[in-house]
Amino acid sequence: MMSHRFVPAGLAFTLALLLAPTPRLSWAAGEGDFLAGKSKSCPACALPRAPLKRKDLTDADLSGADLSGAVLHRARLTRAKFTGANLTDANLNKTDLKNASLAQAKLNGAMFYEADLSAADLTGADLTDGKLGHARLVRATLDHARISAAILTEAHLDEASLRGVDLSATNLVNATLRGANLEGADLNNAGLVEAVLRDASLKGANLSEADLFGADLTGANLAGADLSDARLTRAILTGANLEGAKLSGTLMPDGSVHE
Amino acid sequence: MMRLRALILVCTGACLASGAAAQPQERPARAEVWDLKLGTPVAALPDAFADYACGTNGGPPSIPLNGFADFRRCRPDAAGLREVYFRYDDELEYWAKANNFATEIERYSGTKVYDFPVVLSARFDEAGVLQGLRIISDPRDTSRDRDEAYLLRNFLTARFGRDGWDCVDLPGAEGETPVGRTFIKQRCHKGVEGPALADIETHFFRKKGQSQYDPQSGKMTEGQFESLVRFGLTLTK
Repeated sequence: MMSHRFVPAGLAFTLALLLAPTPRLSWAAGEGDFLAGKSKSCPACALPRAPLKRKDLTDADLSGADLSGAVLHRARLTRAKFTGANLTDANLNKTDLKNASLAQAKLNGAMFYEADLSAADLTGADLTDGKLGHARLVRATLDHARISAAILTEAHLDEASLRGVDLSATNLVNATLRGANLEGADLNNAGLVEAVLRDASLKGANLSEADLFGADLTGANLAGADLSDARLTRAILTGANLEGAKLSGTLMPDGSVHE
Repeated sequence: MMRLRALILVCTGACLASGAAAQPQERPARAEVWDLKLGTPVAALPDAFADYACGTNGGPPSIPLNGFADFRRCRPDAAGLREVYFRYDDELEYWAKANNFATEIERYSGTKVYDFPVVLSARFDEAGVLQGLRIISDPRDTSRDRDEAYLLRNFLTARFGRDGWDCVDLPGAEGETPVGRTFIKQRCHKGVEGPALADIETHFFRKKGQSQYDPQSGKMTEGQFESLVRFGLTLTK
């Protein structure tokens, strides 16, 4: 019985692998010039898995390019344009992306460990499963971005704009979000242990089932936020606005469960 | 049926092996000092390291270089060889950090040989042929207890075979004293495959003026000792 089930499954898997696109061995002229350093820009170019480690691509235009799986480790990308680009599973660890444009970019599974994305535009970007531990996103714009199931441990998001962002099931342990705008954000089941959310706006945000153990919410605006079944044990709520907040089943800072 | 099943298994295995190399975010390979083969022309060496600079015989890096190919910018030493300092590429270290792979973070952090922080350099002759390698324990890297640095000797001698080393215990200079009951000041060499000469100098002692206890306060001191390994591998003519 086992073998009958195994054969078709194995065959399908084998065929799927055989039919999968093979790694690129040569590049088109435009892409070739770009990779050879003759040109700094290559909008809408096909550059999957491109080796761009430590390159200086300051002000480069790579809008709409396919850079899936590309290696950009330690690349200098200040003010570079990646609008609508595909950077799925790309390696952008230790990159300098200050003021870069990544709006509407596909960044699923991409790595940004210790990357500097200060003041970068990530509006509507898809960062699902992204790895942004220790990344610097100070004053970045991430409105309506999808950042669910991502890692943002110890990331710096102070004064970032995160309106309507999807941060569900994301790990934000020890992240700093001082003065960040998270109005209408989805933080369902997010890990915010020891996160700093001082003076952040969480108006109407969904924080249901979020873990805010030891989080600093001093002066935060939580008006109309959904905190049902959230854990606020040892959280600091001094001066926080909880007007109209939903607190059913919430584990409060003193250890009591809100009715 | 059995033959078809075997074929599928073989094909699946082969496809997995080849397909795995094409997967995104696969573990990148990292070149190490042992990938540099003596006698190789500079153009044929892997350009897979980082922070190239003129070497200073174990000291801090000097003039920054773009790669080994720039070796002529470094001044020749007494043996007529030009020393190029380099460090391991940290792509793998940050890949591990991004993915929170604790074992790999430990393994790939820093420039280390047998997990000991080291200063590495390659030495070239006028024709650009790799003539030598230097591995010197790095006292500036605090990722491992400095007093253990001298133990690197054991791993290096094992690499080239424990037997056949010609060793000389050097006399202590004025004021040099043991650390506890241990005093090591030894120079060893051995002819190895290449043909090349491997030489190791090991130090573990307190220098003049260093002591276990502060003579003023009587409190235990920290870091007042020399623990060092200098390893060289040089092509013999």
